[in-house]
Amino acid sequence: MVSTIGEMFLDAQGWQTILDRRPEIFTDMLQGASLGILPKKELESTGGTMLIWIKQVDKMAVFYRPFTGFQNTSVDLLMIADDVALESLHSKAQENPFYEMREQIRNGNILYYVMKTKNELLDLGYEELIDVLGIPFLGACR
Amino acid sequence: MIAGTGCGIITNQGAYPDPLGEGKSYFRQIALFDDKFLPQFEQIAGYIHDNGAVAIQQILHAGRYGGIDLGYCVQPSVVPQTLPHFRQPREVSKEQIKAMVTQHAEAAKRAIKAGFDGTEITSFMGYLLANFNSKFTNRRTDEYGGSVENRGRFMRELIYAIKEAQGDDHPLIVRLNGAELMDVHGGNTEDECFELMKMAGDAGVDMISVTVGWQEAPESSIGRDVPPGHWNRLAIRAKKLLPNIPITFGVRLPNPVMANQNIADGEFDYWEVCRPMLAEPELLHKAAEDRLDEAKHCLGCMNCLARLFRDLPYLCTNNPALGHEVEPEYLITPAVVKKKIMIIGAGPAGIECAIAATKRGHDVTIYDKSDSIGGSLVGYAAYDIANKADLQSQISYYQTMLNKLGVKVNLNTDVNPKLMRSILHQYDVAVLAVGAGVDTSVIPVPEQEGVLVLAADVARGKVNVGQKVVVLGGGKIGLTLAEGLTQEGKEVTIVEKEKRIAGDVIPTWKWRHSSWVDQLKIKTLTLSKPIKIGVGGVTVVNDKGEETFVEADTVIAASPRKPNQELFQEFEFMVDELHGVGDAMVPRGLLQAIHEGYRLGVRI
Ligand SMILES: Cc1cc2nc3c(=O)[nH]c(=O)nc-3n(C[C@H](O)[C@H](O)[C@H](O)COP(=O)(O)O)c2cc1C
Repeated sequence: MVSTIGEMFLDAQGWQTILDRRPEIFTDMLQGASLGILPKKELESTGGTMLIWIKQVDKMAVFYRPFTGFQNTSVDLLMIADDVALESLHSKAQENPFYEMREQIRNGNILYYVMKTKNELLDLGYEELIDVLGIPFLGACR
Repeated sequence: MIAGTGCGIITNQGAYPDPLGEGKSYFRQIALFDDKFLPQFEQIAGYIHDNGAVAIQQILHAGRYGGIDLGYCVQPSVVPQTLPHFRQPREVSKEQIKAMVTQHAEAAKRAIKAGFDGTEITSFMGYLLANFNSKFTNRRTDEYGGSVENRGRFMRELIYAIKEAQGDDHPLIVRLNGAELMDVHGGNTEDECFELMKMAGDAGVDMISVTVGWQEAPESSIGRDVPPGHWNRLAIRAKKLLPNIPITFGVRLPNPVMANQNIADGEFDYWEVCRPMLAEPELLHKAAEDRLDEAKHCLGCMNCLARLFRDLPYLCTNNPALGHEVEPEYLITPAVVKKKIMIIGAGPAGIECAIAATKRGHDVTIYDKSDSIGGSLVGYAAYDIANKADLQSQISYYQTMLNKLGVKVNLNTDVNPKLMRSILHQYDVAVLAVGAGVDTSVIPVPEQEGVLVLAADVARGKVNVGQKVVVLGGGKIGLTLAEGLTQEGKEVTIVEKEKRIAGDVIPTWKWRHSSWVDQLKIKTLTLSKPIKIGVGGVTVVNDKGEETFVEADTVIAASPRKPNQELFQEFEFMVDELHGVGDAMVPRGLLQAIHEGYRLGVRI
């Protein structure tokens, strides 16, 4: 049983359960496609830990890697989540955490960065995840 | 054409200053890194001067949004993109910063050599200058980063270098954000923006243009959901802060009367205008001659920029001739053979065709079976939650033009083969601009009468809608109705057969609908279709075969759309020339209706 945000973030089993409940989001992704989640407070530190989802042959799987700056990050998408976002993801883990992520992105509690271009992301099979998370894909200027 | 708009100062589109194209932000952007470009710039400066205006050349290095032909872009620091359209960043070294400053200065000198009176640099929407100024993208630890003073160093160096290169007789204008709208990303606060503006003033710029937003800002800055005049407060603040520097402003301020009043009230000194002039190049002349009711206006639809950022030349929904000004096929020229034309359908496609054809000397009569002009735009305008007045003013413009041009309009007249037989040989040309309907043959027959209604009838207020509503179709029509009805307090569920809603909405507007749907808590069932419209509701089945019952007093059929093409065959042998335009050909939207109507009108 995880009780703090920190424990929740490091609860690999808990995250895996969340991913396993929505396999259809990741079906089209190529092996190796990866998304990182970094707690906001670790962004400035050099030795932060990043949660990574990496697409395997059959499913999306959970890993942890050190975060040492944008330049050294190999993930395709990077989410920076503040405590409010992590707390709400924690509390909604049993309901619809992907919808919650979308809400938190919209509220600005999760910031995201795309480390690949539009065509690369499409080729890697990200369309469904981008749609589920409500990330603006084509728009520029509003 | 642009030189003839009547503007006092004309700023030519931003040119990128570097030979590699790191500063290039979009397809066909002009460049100014070499003397080989001088002849074209001389020509443009000449056109502007011939029309009595001051000629300014903008130098635009797009920074974070640049390098479109390269695999990367350059920035003060590596801050990855939030929009996948753009290239991944590389941090610039101090030597590169020096080189960029020199390139800007040389480009400015070249512009003056070409005959321009002055130059402008721009941080509009998050370009290089904005990247240095903003703490979102500038995370440097050297003298170019950190404090506002340091972040503004690049701007000051640009100002000094350009002023020196072009000399004191030639003004330098700088476009600076009054607000970045980048708070969630840790961008500059408004106070920091104004500190930077003050810094630019102190560094000796001759005029400041106040802009709003970044391309990746999560909220609207120039879209049609921003009411005209919304951002004036930023110009007012700039004027108060810098009373001795001319302030120019015009972001989402499409109305010349309003702008005139703002200047009279001392809010800012010059009205700056871009899209309204693309939509109506005659805007100033019409304003001066008190003919503004004859002016088309910018709908803020963003089709222009949507195209630019899809690597296509920009166009304007309301001005089909934009970008084609030198092609006779797009211009209104006197018709060699004057014809009698009947246009069936008083929507935008039919009316555009009527206006163009009448101006060419043809004798035009419009028929429509409903009791007012405007076609499906009337319904859109009624339910649009972004800016009803804007769409309604398009219809008023049409009414004015039909009246002024003396186009005959027969409303409440259903044009059918019987009527056609009765007027045989009265017309040389018939144009079918009858729009599209909904293909109800694929929707289950309702078990109760009156439950299933057509989107067009709801939109035009011809039917009553109950409290619980199911909208079949999550395209732009279904969404517009669903949003409007929800705002009226109805409980709405959208049923869409595709995986996603808003499939037929332009890229720059999709986000708007999906965030409204979320905000208004409109329920959407995608990959779903109705299998039974029974008493009290609709049974819906999804792609997995799961059935859901959705309670509904009213079911609105908004999709699939079907062009109204029955009359094409019926009229084939009843008139010499028979044409079709707009949704009657393929259901799409306002842009295609306006463009096709106009193009046919200038050709018949
Ligand atoms: C097609 C198009 C091209 C533009 N190009 C530039 C540009 O090169 N440099 C710049 O500073 N702003 C550019 N802009 C922004 C406009 O100058 C203006 O600030 C913005 O459109 C808002 O004003 P408006 O409501 O009058 O259009 C462009 C806008 C459009 C629609």
